[in-house]
Amino acid sequence: MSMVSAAPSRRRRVKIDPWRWVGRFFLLFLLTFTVLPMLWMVLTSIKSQFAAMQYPPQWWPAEPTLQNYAKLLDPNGSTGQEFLRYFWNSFYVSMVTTILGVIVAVPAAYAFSRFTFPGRTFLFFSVLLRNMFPSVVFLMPLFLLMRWMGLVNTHGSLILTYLTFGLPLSIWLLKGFFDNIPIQLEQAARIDGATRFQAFFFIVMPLSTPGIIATSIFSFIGAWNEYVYAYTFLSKQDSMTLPVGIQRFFTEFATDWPGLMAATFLMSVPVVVLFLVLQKYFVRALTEGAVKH
Amino acid sequence: MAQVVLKDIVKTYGSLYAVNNVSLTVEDGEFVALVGPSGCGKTTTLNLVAGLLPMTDGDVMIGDRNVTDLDPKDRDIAMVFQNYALYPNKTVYKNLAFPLQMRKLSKAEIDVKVMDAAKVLDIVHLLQRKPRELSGGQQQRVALGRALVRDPQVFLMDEPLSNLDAKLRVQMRTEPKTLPSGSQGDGDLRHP
Amino acid sequence: MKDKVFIGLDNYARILTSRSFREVTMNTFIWTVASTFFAFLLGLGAALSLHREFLGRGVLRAVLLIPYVVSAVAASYVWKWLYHSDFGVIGALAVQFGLTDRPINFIDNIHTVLPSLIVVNIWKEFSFAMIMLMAGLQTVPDQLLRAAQVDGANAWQRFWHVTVPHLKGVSMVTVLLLMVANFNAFIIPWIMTSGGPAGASDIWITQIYTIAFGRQRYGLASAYSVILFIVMMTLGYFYVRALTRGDDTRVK
Repeated sequence: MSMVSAAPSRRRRVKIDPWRWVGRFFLLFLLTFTVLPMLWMVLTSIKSQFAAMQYPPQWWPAEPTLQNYAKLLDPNGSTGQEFLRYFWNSFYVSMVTTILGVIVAVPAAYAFSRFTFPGRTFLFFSVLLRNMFPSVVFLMPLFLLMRWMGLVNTHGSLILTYLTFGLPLSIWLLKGFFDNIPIQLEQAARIDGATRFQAFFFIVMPLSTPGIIATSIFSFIGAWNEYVYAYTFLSKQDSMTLPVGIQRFFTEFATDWPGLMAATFLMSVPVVVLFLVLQKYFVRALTEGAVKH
Repeated sequence: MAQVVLKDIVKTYGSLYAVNNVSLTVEDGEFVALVGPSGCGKTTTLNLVAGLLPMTDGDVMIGDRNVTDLDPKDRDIAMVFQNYALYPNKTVYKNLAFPLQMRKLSKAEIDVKVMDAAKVLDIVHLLQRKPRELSGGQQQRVALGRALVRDPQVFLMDEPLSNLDAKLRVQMRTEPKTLPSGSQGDGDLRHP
Repeated sequence: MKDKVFIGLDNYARILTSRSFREVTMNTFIWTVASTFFAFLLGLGAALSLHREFLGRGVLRAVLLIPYVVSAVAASYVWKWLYHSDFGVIGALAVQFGLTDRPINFIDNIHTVLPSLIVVNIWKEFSFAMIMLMAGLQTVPDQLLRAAQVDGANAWQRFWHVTVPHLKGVSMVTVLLLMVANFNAFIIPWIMTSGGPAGASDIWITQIYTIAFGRQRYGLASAYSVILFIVMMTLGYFYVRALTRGDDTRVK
């Protein structure tokens, strides 16, 4: 018996090795491809304007400096004031979108999961619609609508838009999580003396926390990175979000590349940290949102 | 003290009759087992008695109360589910305590009752575990324990003893009589 | 109200016969197909290489996913800097390794601009394909692979006869989602080149945006959007079919 099982395992080791090495080299290549641009961004951001504009480039900054960051984060300087303003705007819009989204999506998803009504197919197709159509197509009608409602240049216009386009997906994701919670748990709770709401609140909600987290980071990252609507709806300096603000900032004069790199770095920090900490949930949201029906 | 009376209960799904005109009286202290092929409506009947499904027609009386329109929580019943339905995020202790918490008992009272039930079911050593860390038989005992802690008027059990080992089964069948507190399970609807 | 004249299909005729339409369509086609193809290929390779458990696998997966998470705006600026005609690091590296004499001007050249933007797009989205396919790989039953091994299949045969058929559903969905996303991509071309130089990187979406918000020709832009809509509906049809077919197999 032992001889029989030993033979194929030895053969397997010999046969798979080349593939394993192919895999390793491929991963190394991908890692380089992925990391080098980010690395260069960081390296540039700690150079002075003068050091960045050299040919051949300084591969490693000769005099690393944090002055670009200091300038962006200085609440007294004009650059710092603007940057922090954009940062706060982005944070505010993303946060409100996320919180409102969860407040609406949780009960809606629960209803979709537990009760049968004709809206089910409609939800599915609104998710599809959102996946299918570019924001540019909706831009004009939405812009006219916002102007009619007097919301141009307000954060309300963005929050409203992000919610409209984000909710179907949020509901869809959460519904998947609720579907996985057996209905018997709620029935047991109701027999144990809980009302429908208590059963939901004490039993279902805690079990769907991963889903709520996944949905939240998804909508936060989406709102934080959104560009097209923010670019069109906001024209006043002090209401701009980061993706738009950053652009106005640096093209008015000759481009300050180290400053721009520092700004893109700071802009990426919140979403990357959020993603790294809650990776598991993010990945789940990503795959469920697209694969599962 | 409670007698359970089902009067002409009907449950339809569209044109399909899941339960058609069932009338039944379970006397106080009586065990009744519903037996039948799968899909014949045993679980549906139990759910109707529990109030988990809205009834199409008929009445359910527990004791002298007509509970037909009451919520499950107000019917004073306990139920053991086929797949146990233990709360996966709560420890065994908290699973047992939940029905008592919902009835707003004091912490001390809850503790006494949970410990009593745990002793009887021999699960004291499992109280701090989560359901997923338990074997099937242990889960079953916890599910029974959650029904026993509460002194309800009626026990409903959906295939509760089918997987239980023989020793525990004997112990369980005598159980309602040995629970310390006064008014125990009176009517018992279950089906093997 | 007088100046509102019904002009029938004039807008469509004008779009469909114009020379720029053909160019933009060609660009859109190249952009969409090339980005999708390479992103999927890299994603598939990454998913297969990461499928096996090894030390640092989780970290690697996380790092590879970062470009997908950061904003396309940030990515565009970073790559614009990498491609910079005078001080760009890619051009400098090419010179360093003796590939060229002078730094290459990637995005101001009508021949290199589109491929350069496609590289950025692939950088940004290949890990999406990776994640989807990793999820797909987990559904390949281990037992089947072992059974195939017992039957004498080598690594390649196992991959081709067991893994690939299992990945079909998720691959279909991934490719379609990538196609749709690329077709609708706006930020990268807009920020990096705004469609230039000389329209060499103009795709439908940037074109629609320019027509509507730059030249304020709303009728023309709407007509463009309708054409786009029709293309999307076609893709959408296949998307729904891919999804529902996955459903059938799951049910069985």
